[in-house]
Amino acid sequence: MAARARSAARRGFAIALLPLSMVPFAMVVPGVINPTPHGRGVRLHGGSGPTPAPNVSLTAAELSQFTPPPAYGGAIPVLVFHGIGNWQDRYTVSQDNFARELALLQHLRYHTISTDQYAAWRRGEKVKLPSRPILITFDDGRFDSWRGADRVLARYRMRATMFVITGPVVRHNLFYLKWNEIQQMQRSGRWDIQFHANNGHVDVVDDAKGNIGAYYAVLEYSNGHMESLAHYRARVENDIVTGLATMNRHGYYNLPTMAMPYGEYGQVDAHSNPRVKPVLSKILTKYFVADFVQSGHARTPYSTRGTGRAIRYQLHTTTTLSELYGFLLGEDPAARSKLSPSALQALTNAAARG
Amino acid sequence: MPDNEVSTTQATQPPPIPTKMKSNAIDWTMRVLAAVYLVAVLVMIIGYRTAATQVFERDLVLAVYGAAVGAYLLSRFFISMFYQPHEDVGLEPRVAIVMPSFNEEDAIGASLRSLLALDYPQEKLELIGVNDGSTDNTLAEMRKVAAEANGRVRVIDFPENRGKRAGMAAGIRATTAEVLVFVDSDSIVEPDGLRKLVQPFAEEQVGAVCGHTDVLNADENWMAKMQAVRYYIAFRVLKAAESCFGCVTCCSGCFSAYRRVAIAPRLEWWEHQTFLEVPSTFGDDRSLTNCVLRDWRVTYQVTARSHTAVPIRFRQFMRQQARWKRSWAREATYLARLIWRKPAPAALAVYVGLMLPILGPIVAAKALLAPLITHQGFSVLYPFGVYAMALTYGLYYAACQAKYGSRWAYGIVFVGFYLVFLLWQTYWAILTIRTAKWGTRPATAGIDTGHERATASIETLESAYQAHGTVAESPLSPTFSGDLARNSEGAVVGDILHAYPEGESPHLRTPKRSASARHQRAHTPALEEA
Repeated sequence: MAARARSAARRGFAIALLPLSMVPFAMVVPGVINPTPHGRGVRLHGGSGPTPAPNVSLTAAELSQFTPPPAYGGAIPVLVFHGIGNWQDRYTVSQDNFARELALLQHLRYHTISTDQYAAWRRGEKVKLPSRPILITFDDGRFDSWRGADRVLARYRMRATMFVITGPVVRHNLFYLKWNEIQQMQRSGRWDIQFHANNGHVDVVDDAKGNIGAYYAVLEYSNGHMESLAHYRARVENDIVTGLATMNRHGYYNLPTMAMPYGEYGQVDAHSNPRVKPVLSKILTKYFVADFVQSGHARTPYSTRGTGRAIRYQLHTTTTLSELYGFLLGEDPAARSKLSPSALQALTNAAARG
Repeated sequence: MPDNEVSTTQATQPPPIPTKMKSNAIDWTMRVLAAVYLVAVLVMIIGYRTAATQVFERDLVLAVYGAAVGAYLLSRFFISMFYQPHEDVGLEPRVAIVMPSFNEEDAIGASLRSLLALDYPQEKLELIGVNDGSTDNTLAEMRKVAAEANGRVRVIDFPENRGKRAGMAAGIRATTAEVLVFVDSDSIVEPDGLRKLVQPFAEEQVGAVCGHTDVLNADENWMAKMQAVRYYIAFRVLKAAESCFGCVTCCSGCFSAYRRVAIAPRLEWWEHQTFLEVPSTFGDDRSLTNCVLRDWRVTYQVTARSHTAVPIRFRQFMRQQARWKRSWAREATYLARLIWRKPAPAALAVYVGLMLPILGPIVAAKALLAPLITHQGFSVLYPFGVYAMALTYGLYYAACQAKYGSRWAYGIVFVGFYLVFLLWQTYWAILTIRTAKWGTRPATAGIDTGHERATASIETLESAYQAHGTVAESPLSPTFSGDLARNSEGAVVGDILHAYPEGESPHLRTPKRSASARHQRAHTPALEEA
């Protein structure tokens, strides 16, 4: 009897081995074949840490064409990236291009500043700045940003700010950085970790037709009712407070800045109720010295002192060095007048594309 | 030393030949599932390779290596599907089975008797026992069997130990049989095995035939189980694929047959082969195959079955593997120079198969160890590639076995073991390629200087012959020898991919043998040092 039971158990075990052997694949395959940009399984393909910086250099023509713009004149340029890698999805910048962009910044004698420096400067405190300060930021806390950017930042002796999403959904998605990786970044001294959103990095239904808008930018329509402004305030403030508490729990207390999810506070979405903007601004000002949005326009203004909204220049997959240079020249006519005709033409074209 | 009173048949009770099993409904279901799963894994490997090219843009070595491994593996499986064993055309050439023996008094009698009992016409089967200077009663045991065998067993006695190759060569010279068969003393041959083995010689171009070998002691421990899967893949997939082009690169010493005229011209060279000025003491099977391969077809006959015992101790296994790798590397230098004459797909596979083991450790180190040093992160790509490969071996095994059990999963264990231990042995083996020691046995039978020709005293003992029937009824009793085992050699090494054996003989440890091994060690220090 016992022998029969043993033999049956052995048999059962042998049969169970077949499905069990699939477990490792089940862990990996979804990340590999998931077609959405947020599940490309970059870790699975490319390893779990930063990749080496590529060797890039600017051409002689570029070096001569791009001359350093005027030194600090009261405003600071801020750049924003979303991811570093090889997908052609508009938002992700290839590692080579990223390296070339940093090489350009170095050539133009820019020096990156920390979030602390930036925040202090925003508040009007006395702060020591390099002659050409610049703030580099990354939105979303994407794994590929760290993977692709970290060693390049190290090579050019630069630093960057990473805005992370704290919500549980993102925390369980391998596309995003894990807490231990975030801590590793922080320890490297190259990265400042700041808050992006908790559960608010999503779209919500914002009218009876089922249209959607950014969580932070619209009044939510649910159960046949449009939410009240008070409800909106509670919802948004709750997201911020919960997210900040989560950041605190992981040891991040110094959180003077925030990046608006999607860079959207109601300025783009036509559905947005005009009454939302002032309420949102009030909430953000309560917690942050700067809330960042972005623009891909070559004439994007520099960030200035004060509180509230700060605008960043967004780099896309296809952003050229000329376009970046155009932004860095700012609105200064004197600087623009020094440009070669071809560079000026490129800038004009870029501006036209917006 | 063991008592002389112990008769040979009682001396060791080997496991019987595993009985053939039939699949029941559950087995069939699981086998079909395993087959479907196997196909899915193969499709996945192809799909991933084509889809994930961007991964490799910064790592050319990994890209090329991965593609080569994938293509090699898939081609082996694919080509082996077209393998057909030679049909039984009733060919019955005169066969001599040569069995050199060194200090195997416990086993040699039973071994010879079991071979006498093979299903083959008496008058066409001759056994040649070569006593290679044994210090025990091996010679007496051989003579005892010869006395019973009505002239079918010849005994050659070397007064001193001259080595396996000398023994084999003396045996070959002592007979006029058209076909020479070598059976490892640790192997047992199924009753119809010999008949099946010689059938391919119906084809005139066939110079050598490699039989199929399974693991006899497969249930002994995990190490034996993983080798069972390994042997099966090595024979049924790798050798079968090679056989499609008549280019089997190693006729396993466990059970193989050679056409006399195919080896005769190279016999002298083979017996006294030296490599880098050192006599080649092991790897006799791989070397002999190379001698034949240049001008003849060499095929694999899956229906000719034998069973062999494999090492079940870590040290023994590692030493055996190191020896295989050395002979693999040595014989690769010959193989590379002759295989280009063969059909292009076969030659290409051989060259790729030679490169992969060399690249393997580099790629593995880069994928697994470099991240620890550079902190650049660890890619799951390599481990999962390895896992997928391991799974294909295991699933293939599961799909092909009549009884579905858990043993196939040891194919995965094997690949893991390979990755951790065996992969890294390749360079070590190449660096120590001049080593003549067998490693698995204390007395290195025959570090032949090559200067002294063996002068064998051939004895054909005739005596009262007992009815053939009684012999046939005697249980098949292979010899189980310990560290002192005579050994045939073969090696495949390499990369995880072709980490499957060519042929080898086993070292089963029995307490009795250990005692005898100690004895030997005490008495033959000089040999060991050599």
